[in-house]
Amino acid sequence: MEAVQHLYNGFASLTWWSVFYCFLGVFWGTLVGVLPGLGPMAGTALLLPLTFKMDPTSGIIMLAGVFYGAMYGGSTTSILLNIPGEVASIITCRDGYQMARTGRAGPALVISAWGSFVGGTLSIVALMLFAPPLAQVMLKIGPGEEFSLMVLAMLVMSYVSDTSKLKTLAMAVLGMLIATVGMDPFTGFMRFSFGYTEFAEGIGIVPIAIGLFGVSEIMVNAESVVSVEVIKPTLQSLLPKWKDMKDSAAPIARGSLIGMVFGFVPGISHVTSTFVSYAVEKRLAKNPEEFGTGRIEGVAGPESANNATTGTSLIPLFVLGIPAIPATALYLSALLVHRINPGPQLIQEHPDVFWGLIASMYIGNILLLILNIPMVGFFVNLLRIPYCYLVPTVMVACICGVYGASFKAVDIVLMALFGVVGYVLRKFEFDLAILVMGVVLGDRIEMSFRRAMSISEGDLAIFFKSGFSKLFIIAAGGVILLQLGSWLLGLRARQNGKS
Amino acid sequence: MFSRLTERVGDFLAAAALFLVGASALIISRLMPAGRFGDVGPGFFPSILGVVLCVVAIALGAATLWRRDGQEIVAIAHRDSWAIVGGLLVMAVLFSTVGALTMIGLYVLFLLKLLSRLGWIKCVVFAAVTVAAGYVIFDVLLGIPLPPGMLL
Repeated sequence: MEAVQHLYNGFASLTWWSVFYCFLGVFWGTLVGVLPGLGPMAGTALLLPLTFKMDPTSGIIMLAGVFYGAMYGGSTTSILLNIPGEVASIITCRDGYQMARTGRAGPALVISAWGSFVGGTLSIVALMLFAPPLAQVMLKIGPGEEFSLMVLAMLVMSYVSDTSKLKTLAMAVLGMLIATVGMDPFTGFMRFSFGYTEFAEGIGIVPIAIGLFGVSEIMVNAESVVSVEVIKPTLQSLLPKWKDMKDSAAPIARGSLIGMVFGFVPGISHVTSTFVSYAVEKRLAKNPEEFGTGRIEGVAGPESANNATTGTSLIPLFVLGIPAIPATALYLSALLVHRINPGPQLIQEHPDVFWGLIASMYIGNILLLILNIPMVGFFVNLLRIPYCYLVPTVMVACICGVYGASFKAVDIVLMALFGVVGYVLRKFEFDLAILVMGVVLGDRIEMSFRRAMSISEGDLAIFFKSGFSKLFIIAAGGVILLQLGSWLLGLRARQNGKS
Repeated sequence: MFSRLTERVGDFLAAAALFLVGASALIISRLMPAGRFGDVGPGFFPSILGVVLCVVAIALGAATLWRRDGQEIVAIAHRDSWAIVGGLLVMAVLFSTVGALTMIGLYVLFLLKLLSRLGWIKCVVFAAVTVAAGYVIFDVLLGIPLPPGMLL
């Protein structure tokens, strides 16, 4: 009941401007989801500088809109082009595109949008119900527990990453090292600034994120510009049949549940949940061999699952101050710029931000349903924009956005350099998202460690004193053992293969 | 020089680069006050990270040498990709001195000539429209003053 009252206050706190920014976020999100080669991370990074000029609630509302908007938009290209606009929509290509080829693009798009709406809405309900009580519990943790928790988060994210564990670990450490550049907040000592005052405040997250995700994506796409043939559905063909609705009801419910559960897991929850949902639907199907030939269940389940992670993946951010998915690392930066500390105290100290965001997500999901069904033709037509016009437009947004965040031209140079770094690292399959996580969390890991050491007067036992701390340390140890175990198993399998 | 590398060689070079970064961080942070456990100094955390990065880089390099696969060729020298970022760097260096709008306009023109077969007039018109749109959105609507420099 208390949650409903807070939600009411959240709706009451929204201004028309907040709703406009929510629309802007979901519209831009749908756009980056539709356009292949411009993912939600790049889309969020591009809008990040704009949020510095807004009030924190509007800023976070817009950024969140980009992420869940991209989840909706990503399915459009998967169904109509067989090109996932976003990694979470990869699995939708299988049955969605086959449905489109047999003239059933309309039902696939509508069921996908409806499933996304149901999954997204249920996920917001979960965020609303679980985040406040969990935050109350987490208010009791001190710097010792905070340090153990963040180390655990970094380890879990490295473990679930689908690239080489060593490469992932290297990216996490490199990110944390980049975070140490600039003035030490404890002593004022300048670190790695080499006498340049421009680096006194450290390297901003904006040039790093836009360079790694925006510029490098443009560099990769410049290598091979593909022309696409679009299957364009008519408005009449959009209406699904009663059988489609009946067949997709249970997969939507199951997909939503899977997505909500996976949203809690830091790392690549929205991608993993879609594959799990698809596997579950295939296993439960009477004719599993028909999957891949255009089954509506293969679209409904995964699309509900990836949207159902969007709300619950915000729980670690609001309860622990830890971004569970890379895009939320950028929300964290947006909040920090407004001097709002993400973590358990946020819900108490800034209820307008938390409940305003939740209220906006309900509105955003309805806006997306409108954008993604009747306006699907508009978004599909955007795919016809020649690449040569798209690149300069995106680059101008990158340049002005990066400059606007700090008013330093050196940040544009940094963006270009991080673009090159991102391009090369992508080529050799390093996880760029973990690098950004390292940059965002590095500062806080160091600060909590130093605060804990200062409180305990150098006694390392502080990390093992409380129940929470013990739990986090044991869990971190467990993750390391799992890493070692999977490495040894891989080694053994390779040796067996050789012999 | 490294236009087409095998995945294995690329991984090894990446490990070497990471080792260099880690070792440099370690050497530089040794010059900072490390403090003591009860009062950790600014050099402590970067030193630890430098050591960890060196160890991970060595492990990555060793794992790369050990593996037999990874012979796929990875191309990293596409002309357009490097031209985009090269132009961006030149634009960034001259951004404040020459003028933001002039440099953005020239960069857009450069990108259009690089990526399309459009004639000069169309390119100039598109560049002018993009610069005008950028000015209106960022300078006028969002209040981000772009540096005028020598020209504009």
